[in-house]
Amino acid sequence: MDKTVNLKKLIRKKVLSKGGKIIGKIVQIRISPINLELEGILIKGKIIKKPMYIGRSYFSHLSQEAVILNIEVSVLIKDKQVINSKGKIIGRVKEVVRKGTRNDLKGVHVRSFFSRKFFIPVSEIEYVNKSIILKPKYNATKKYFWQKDK
Amino acid sequence: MQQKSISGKKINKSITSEDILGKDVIDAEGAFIGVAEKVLIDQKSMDFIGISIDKGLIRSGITIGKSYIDKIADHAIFLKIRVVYDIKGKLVFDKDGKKMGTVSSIDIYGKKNKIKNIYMKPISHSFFFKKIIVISADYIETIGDNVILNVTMNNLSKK
Repeated sequence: MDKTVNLKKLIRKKVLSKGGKIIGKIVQIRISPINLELEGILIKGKIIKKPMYIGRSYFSHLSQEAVILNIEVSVLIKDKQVINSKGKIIGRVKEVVRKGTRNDLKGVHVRSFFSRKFFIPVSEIEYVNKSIILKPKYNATKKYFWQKDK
Repeated sequence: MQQKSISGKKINKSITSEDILGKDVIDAEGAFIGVAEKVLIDQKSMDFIGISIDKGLIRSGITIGKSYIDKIADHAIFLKIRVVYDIKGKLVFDKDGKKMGTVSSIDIYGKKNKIKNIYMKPISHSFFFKKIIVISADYIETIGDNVILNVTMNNLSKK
C-alpha cells in the first residue's frame, strides 16, 4: 500500500505541464468501470475555465501533491503572438484547432489589429513555445477588414 | 547619387548597425528578450562580437555573444539559445510537484549560457528551509514556464 496514492487527496491538487506551468486543479478523477484503472482527470482553473479532461497517457508523474503532464497543453497557446521568420508579429492566436480530442495541433486561427481571422496550418509552423514562430516559406494570406470576400 | 566605396571587398551583402539597433531580440523559444541597443566590435580585430540588449527600465541589460545569434532578420534578431538568466523569479517544484520556492539567483559556467547552480528562496511555509537553498543543475529535470526538479523535497534536504 506504500506505493499507492490516495486519490481522495488528489482532488483540488495542482496539475503542472511538462514545463512546470500550473494549468489548473483536479476537480474529478475518472476511473474505468471495466478494469478499475485510472483513466484520466478533469481539471479546471484560472487558465482553463471550463472543465477539461486529460487522459492518463498524458501523465508523466502522479503524486499526492500534483499531477505532472508529459505535454504542454496545446489549447493554452491561445492569445500567444504569431511571428514570421523575419521577426514580424503577424497577429495573435484567436482559436486553436486540434486533431480531434488529441493534444496535436491542426492549426491556429490568427488575427491582428486590422486583419480578419485567418488560418495557419501546423505545416507552416516552425515551433510553438513562448510564441509561435512560422516557417520561412510561409506566405500569409492576411485579409484586412475592408477587403471583400471573393 | 551612388555612394563611392573603397572597401576593397564586395560589401553589397553586408548589413549595417542600423539593421541591428532597435530591433526586438527573440530567444530560441520565441520569447521576447529586449531590444538591441549596442553593437559590440572587437577593438583589435574589428570583428563583430555580439550585441547588448536593453531589457527595459526595471531589468538590467544583457550582452549576447555572436555565437549565440541565430539570424538577423528584417524585423527581429533571433537567438539560438534560451537566455539562462530568465530563470530568475520562476517557481521551483520538486519531483512530486510540490511547490518549494522561487529562483532568486543563478551561477553559470564562466561566461557561458549554462547553469551551474540555482539559488532558491523557499516559500514561507516551507518547513525546514529557512534560508536561500543552493540547488545544483544536476537536480533540474525541466525548465519551462517554471522549474521542475528530479528529486523530492525530502531527498534534496538530505543532499
